[in-house]
Amino acid sequence: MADLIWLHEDMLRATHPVFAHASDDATAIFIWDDAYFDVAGYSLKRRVFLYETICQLPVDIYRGDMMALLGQLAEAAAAQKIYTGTSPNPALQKIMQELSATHELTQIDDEPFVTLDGPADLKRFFRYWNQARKTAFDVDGAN
Amino acid sequence: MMEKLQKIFADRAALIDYVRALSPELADAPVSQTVGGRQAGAARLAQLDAQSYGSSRNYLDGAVSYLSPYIRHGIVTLNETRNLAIQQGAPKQVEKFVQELAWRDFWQRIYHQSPAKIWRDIEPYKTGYSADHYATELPEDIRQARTPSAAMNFFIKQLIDTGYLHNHARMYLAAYIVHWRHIAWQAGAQFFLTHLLDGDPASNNLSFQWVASTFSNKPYFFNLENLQKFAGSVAPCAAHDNVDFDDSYDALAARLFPHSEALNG
Repeated sequence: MADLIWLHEDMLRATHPVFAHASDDATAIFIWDDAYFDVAGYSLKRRVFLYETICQLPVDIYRGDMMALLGQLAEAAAAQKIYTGTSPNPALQKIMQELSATHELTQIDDEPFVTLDGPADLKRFFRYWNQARKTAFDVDGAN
Repeated sequence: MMEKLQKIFADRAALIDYVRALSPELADAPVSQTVGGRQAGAARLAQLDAQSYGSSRNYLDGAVSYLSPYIRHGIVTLNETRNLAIQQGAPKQVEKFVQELAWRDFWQRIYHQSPAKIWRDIEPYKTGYSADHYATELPEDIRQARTPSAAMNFFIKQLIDTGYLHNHARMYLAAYIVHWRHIAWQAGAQFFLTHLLDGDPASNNLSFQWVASTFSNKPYFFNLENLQKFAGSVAPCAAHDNVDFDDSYDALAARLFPHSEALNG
């Protein structure tokens, strides 16, 4: 049974680590959800930019409600495992949470920018920068 | 029956027509000349000049990277951009550019930690006004680029037509919306998110909060001299077209923030 890779708008490249985690014969999809874009208030130019980007990716594009279609596509592909990228977006997180109730969903982090030696201090940028700069000038953000 | 969408098009115009048909209510809206996709993002990356960025970034015609729409959607990563930047000079020479990438990382970490904070005031305004002083709707003259300021109208048109604004122009326009027009930062932030190709709730909203002073120690504002210095080569910055900004910082602080002792000391 092949895995399903669900690409969302925060992870639109073919080298995202999600592709290395899923099986080689995984089916990759993007769901064009008009209602999702409407709620986000995306103008036409933003939708064109996204569509143009997605067309260059190894994914099939389906149109419809994200949550409903993910279930249907997982069923159609007989996929037991669904892979996607982590996202801070509450709308995407809600879908991931609901999907986890019925499917084995794995969220994969994108490659990190820096490596911190403790919890991030996010009170003000320069506090964070003083932590981040220790690896920010190293290849792959790692000493 | 699941509706599978088309991926192959004869040219860009055909793709745009197809997306217009998917969004008929937006069909008359402008489309940016900025091309989406990894290929276009990689071409931008190849043009990166991280050293020049450091010295000219505050000028509207400075050597900025235009990578933000690609980074926003994960098309290009912060990591690969930094890896390229550090090949272009010693840490000191590329520091400003790498620091700018770190701002994006900083905003994303806050968003991951507290997604709900993105639309709320993180701290009270430090303008002498409370949050309920600010109007919640963006006025029509701002939406339609018909404000009394020619420079602000130029920025608004650019935002709507291209989906891009230089960071300094974003700061000017955000400050104008919040501090000159007394509009809540959320209304301005939503307007930006609708149009910016790189519109990201974390970077956009938290930057707006930085300008507003709900995520900084004081409000950000500017005067005509500053506008002319950094935007004068690009935007219409003549004094008679931008009278609201033509004053000293002290005089503007007294006018914009009359109830704040800290800003009128």
